[in-house]
Amino acid sequence: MILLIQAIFVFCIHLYICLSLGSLMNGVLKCKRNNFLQAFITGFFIYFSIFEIIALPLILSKCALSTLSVIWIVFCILCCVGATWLYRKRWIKRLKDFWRGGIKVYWGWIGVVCVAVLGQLIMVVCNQYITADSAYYIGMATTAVHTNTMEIFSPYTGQIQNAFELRYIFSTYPMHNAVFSQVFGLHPLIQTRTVMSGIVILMVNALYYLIGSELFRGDSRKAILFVVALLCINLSIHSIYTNAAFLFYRTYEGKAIIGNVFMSMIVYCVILLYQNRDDRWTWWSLFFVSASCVAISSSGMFLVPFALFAGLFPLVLYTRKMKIFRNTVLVILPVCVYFLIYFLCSLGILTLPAI
Amino acid sequence: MGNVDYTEAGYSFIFRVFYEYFGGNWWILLLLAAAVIFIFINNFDNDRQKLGYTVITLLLTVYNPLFIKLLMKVLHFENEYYRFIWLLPVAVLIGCAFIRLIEKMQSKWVQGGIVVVAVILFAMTAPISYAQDNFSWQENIYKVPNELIETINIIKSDSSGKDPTVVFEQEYNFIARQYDASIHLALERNRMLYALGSTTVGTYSDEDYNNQRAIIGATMLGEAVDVAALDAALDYTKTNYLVLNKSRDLTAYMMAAGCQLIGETENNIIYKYR
Repeated sequence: MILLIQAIFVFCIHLYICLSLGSLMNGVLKCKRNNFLQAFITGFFIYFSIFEIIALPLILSKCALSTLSVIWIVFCILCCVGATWLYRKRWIKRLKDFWRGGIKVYWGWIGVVCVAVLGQLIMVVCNQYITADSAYYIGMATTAVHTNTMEIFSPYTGQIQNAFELRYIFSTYPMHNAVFSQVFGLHPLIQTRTVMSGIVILMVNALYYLIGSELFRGDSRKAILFVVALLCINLSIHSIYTNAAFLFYRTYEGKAIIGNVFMSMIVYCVILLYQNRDDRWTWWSLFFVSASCVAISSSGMFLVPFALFAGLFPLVLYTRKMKIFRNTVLVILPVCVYFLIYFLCSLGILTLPAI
Repeated sequence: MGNVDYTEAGYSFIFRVFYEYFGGNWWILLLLAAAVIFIFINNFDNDRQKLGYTVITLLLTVYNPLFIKLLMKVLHFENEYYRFIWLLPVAVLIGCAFIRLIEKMQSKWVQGGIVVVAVILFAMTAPISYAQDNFSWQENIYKVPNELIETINIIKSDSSGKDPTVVFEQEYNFIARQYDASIHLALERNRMLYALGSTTVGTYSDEDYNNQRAIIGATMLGEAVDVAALDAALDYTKTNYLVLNKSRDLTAYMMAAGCQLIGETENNIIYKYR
C-alpha cells in the first residue's frame, strides 16, 4: 500500500513538472495559451528535450547516476518553484473557469471520458504481461540504480559492456526512470510500468481530446465522443505491430510513446497550423517534439522526421510562404542533428568513448 | 516483422507489411480507405487539408514502393519498417469520419442507427477476448510472478551476499534482472532468443553462444547433451545456480553434471552448481 501511495505521489510530481515547464514555455516564449492540457503536453516534450541535453554528455563521460539525479532534481525543483511563483494566480483562475464552464456543464460527458481513461489505466497499470524487449528498457533502469552507473553494465547479463550500445545510447528514457527511482526510492519496475505508463495513457487521451476539439470546433461533447471512438478503434485492431498494441500492452517502452504520444502530437499541431499558420505555440511545440524524440526511443530518430515532413510539407506547398518553409526546416533540424551524429557513429567517422 | 522478407517480396513488400500489420484484416484497411475518401469528398471544416494531405504525402513517400527501395538500401530496417505505419493516423481518420457521418445525418434515428452499427462492428472484432489474451492481472505491484520473487529469495539466501550468476528459463530470464539487478544471468537475451529460433535478433556462432546453446539445449530443448559438455558450459559461463521447470525431471542428469538441489518452488527446481 505504501508503495502504491509512493507511486501516486511520483505520478503527481511528474504531472506538476510537465505543467510547470509548459507554463514556463508559454511565458518565456510569449505564446498566448492558457490551457492546462496544452501546458502539460508541451511540458512533457520540453522535459525530455532538456533531459537529453543534460543526460547524454554525463552518460558518455561515465558519470555516476547520482550525479545526474542531483542535477536533474535541482533543475526540476527550480522549474516548479519558478512556475508556481509566476503562474499560481493564472492556474487558480483557470481551475475556477474549468469548474464553472466544464465540470458543471458537461459533468455527464466528463464522467464518460473518465470511465474510458480509468479503464485504460487499469488495463495498462495492472497488466503483468511482458515481452522480451522489456529486458532492456526496464532492465537498464534497474541495473543503473543497482550499480549507480549509466549504460556501463549490460542489462541482459549484469556484466560490464565492451562498449556503449550505439543503438540505444541516444535514448535516455531508461536513465530518466532510473533517476526518479533513485531519488524517490521507488523500484524501477514501479516507476516504469505504473508511473510512466499512467502518464502515457493520460497524455494520449488528452491529445485525442485536443484533436477532437480542434476538428469539431471546440464542441466538448463531440470531442469526448471522439476520444471514446478512438479507444474502440484502437481496441479493434488486433496485431502485435500496431501503435495501439504498443500503447495497451507495451506502454513501458519508448516506442509506445513515439507511436502514440509523438505521432498524435504531430497530427494535432498540423491541424492547428492549418488554422493559424503563424501560431508560435504550435511551432515551438513541434520544435520540442523534434528535440525530445531521440531521448524517448532511437526509433524516433527515423519516424519523427518523416512524420514532421508528411505533416508540414503539404502546408509549405499549400501556403507557398518562405516563412513556413523556414519554420519547417528549423523544426525538423534538431532530430536531423541527432540522426547525423548517429549515422556518423554507425559509419565509424565519429566514435563513442570506450567504457 | 521478421516474417516479411524485403528481398523476396520486392515491390509487394509494402502490401504484405500492411496486411500483417492489421493482423490480416483487410476490412480495417477498407474502412480506413472509406474514411479517407469520405473526408476528401465531404471536406467538412477543411478536414481534407488538416488530415488528408498528410495521407497523400505518406502514400507518395514512405508507402511508395520505389521510395522504400531507396530507403532499404540506405537504412536496412525491413524488420522495423512496420513502424512507419504508425505515421498514418488510422484511428483519428476513422474516428473523424465516424463523427462527421453522424453530424451529417439530420434524423436522430439515423444517427442512433449508425452508432448501433458501429457498436455491433466493434463487438464483432472481439476486443475483450483479444485484450484477455494479452492481459494477466498483476500478482504484485512489481508485476513479476510471486514465484520468481520466491526463487530469487532462495538463491540470495544461499549465495550469502555474493552476486550470483543464474540460468533461468525463457520467461524468468527476461524479467529476473528487471526485478533484482544483483542477479547476473548466464544466458544473454539475444543469444537465448536466437537459440530458441528467433530471426530478428542477429546471428551468433561465437564461443559464448556455443556454451550458452549447450545449456539451453540440455535444460530447455530436451537435446541429448553430454554431461561433460554441460559441465564445461556451466563452468565457462560461471554459472552458480540453475532454475529449471519441474516438468522436465532433470535431477539425475543435473547431479551428474555437478549440481545439487537446494530448493524448489511450485513449478521450479533450483540447483546449485559447484
